[in-house]
Amino acid sequence: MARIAVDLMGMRFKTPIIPAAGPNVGTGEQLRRSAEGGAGGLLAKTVSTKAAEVPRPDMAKYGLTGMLNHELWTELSLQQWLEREYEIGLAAAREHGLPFIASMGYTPDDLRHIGPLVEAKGVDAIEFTIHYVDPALVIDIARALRESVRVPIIAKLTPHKGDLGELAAALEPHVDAFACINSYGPVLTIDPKWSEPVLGSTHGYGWLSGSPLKPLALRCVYEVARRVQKPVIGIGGIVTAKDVIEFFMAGASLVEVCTIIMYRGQGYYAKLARGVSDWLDTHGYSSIDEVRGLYLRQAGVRGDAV
Amino acid sequence: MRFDALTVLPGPGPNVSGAAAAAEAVRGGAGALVLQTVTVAPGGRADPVRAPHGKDGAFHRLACSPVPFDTWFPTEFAAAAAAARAAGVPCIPSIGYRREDVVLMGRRLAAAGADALIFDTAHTPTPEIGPALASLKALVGVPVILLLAPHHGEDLPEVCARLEPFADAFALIGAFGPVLSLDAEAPAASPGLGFLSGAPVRPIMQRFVFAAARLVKKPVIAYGGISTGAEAAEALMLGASAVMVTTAAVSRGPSVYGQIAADLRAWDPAKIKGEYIRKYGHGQRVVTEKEETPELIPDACITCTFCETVCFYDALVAPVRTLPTLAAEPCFQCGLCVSACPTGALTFRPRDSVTQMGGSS
Repeated sequence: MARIAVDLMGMRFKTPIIPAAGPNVGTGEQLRRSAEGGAGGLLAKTVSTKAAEVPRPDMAKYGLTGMLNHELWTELSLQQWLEREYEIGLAAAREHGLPFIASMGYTPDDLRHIGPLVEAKGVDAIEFTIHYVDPALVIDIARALRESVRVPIIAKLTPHKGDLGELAAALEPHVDAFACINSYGPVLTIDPKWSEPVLGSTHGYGWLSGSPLKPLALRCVYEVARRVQKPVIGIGGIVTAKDVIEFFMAGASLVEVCTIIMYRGQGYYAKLARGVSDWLDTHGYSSIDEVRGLYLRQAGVRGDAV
Repeated sequence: MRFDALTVLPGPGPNVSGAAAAAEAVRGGAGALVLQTVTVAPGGRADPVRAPHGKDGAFHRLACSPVPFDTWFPTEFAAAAAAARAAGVPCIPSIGYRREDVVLMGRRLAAAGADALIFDTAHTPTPEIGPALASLKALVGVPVILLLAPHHGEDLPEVCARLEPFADAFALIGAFGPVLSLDAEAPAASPGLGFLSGAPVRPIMQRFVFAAARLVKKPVIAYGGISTGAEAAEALMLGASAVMVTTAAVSRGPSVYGQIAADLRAWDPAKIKGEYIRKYGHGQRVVTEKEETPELIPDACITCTFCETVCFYDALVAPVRTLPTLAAEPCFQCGLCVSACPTGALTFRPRDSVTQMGGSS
């Protein structure tokens, strides 16, 4: 059996597949189910200074494995996370021998305030979400968190026009890893039967995730991985074990999944991990480390460009 | 030239690679004879790489015709113009990408009987789009449809508004990218960087069409992932004046244009056009409280259990061969079960009218 455990930033992930921030890890109980379902590590839903006021409805299926959402961040209070949800999630992580990553946002003040409170709970790393493309602003956010906590910090980037590698290179001195990418939007679908919005946001706008996003996510992972030395976590549209392999080939060192878990259930982590191991066995690899960057390196030689 | 709301146009892609294919598209029900984008020196921009993405998407390189304009003009265009005249439909060639090239080609095509032109900006440097369009319009009398994709920026609707004095219509978006396509079996032979079309880009296209149609008075053509009459109807509701189709025509053949147009008739296109803008152009009332909860239409339920799978709020319980039960209190009104139900057996109802849904079959 090929080795699929991943050692990253001083943490050992049992498999290369962990949750992405979303309703799949919206409570301590869901985190526990993710651990029981075979996640390689845990990552909790994004917290911020205030609870999110989410428009209802905020999720809609698109195609077989795509989704539009207007999820924002956790609708639970920071206090509830600190007093209850992190405790349950961290207990599950320890029980299953998994690293635990917290997710937070958004302003430098938010991160200075929340970072130390969450770190004190005993989390192993912190992912922070960046919605901006202005490098100066983004660096301010990263530095605010860097100066507030000691655990590794991961910048989760949002897709935008141009080369995401530029932004990542500017951020690299201030962070320990990158996560690519957030959902893409805004996008819009409506119910044509009644010409009515499907989502409850102002114009019915949402953000796209799931399989339609995968080619964009792969490009972002590739753009960042070719510019930086620090690890890149791939997120966006993973459905099958082969998708996990593709992200590794593009330069990822770990992947996060949310949408497919919403459609297949928390037990799907184990199936994906088994599929990755089987794929490696079938193709003659003894470890997932051996496929990392396989595309990235040859594309660098070829001088890939559109 | 007038756009009928029923007009289904071929997108200027490999679906209409030459005069013969374009004439086939017209026989298949396309409302105009559109030709794949041509340019003076195609070079690498004619890269024919095209790979499926999922069931109804396509990865490609925004390719133009491999035939240079000077060769194409006396052969393909002459044949296409004759076919359009014989069929009684407008002849709309597509030209790209640089300013001097579109001016040169546009003048010759307009003089030779093109009824309208598509200015394909896929490979045009973004700052050159406005000046190229203005130059083209100053020299040709025929309508120009500006084809714009979001790799030129997320502000496409604002760009349309700025260029409205020069363009006669806008086609949004055709393709989305750049994206990366990998082949895990042969990473070195992967397609690499390119663009995505088809069903995966439809929600992206619809947002740009809706936003642009709110800003401009000139027609907006919905181009991206449309393959059915219902999807064309959705685009019209969002403000589109016509639709363009490439990926579905490549995978299903030229009869797809006529099928979409025929299915669209059932929607009363003249009535639905812009309906969503009229209703929600200024937004809807945003509800952040739990006001509604799903209600089951028992006769429509096939007891597939999928609603329980997608419920992450522990509100739905749906054992096999049993009608689902829903607890209103933990329900978040996220809507995923309603949108995911394969038979439409779940609908939203005001929360106070539904305290507990359920039963058993």
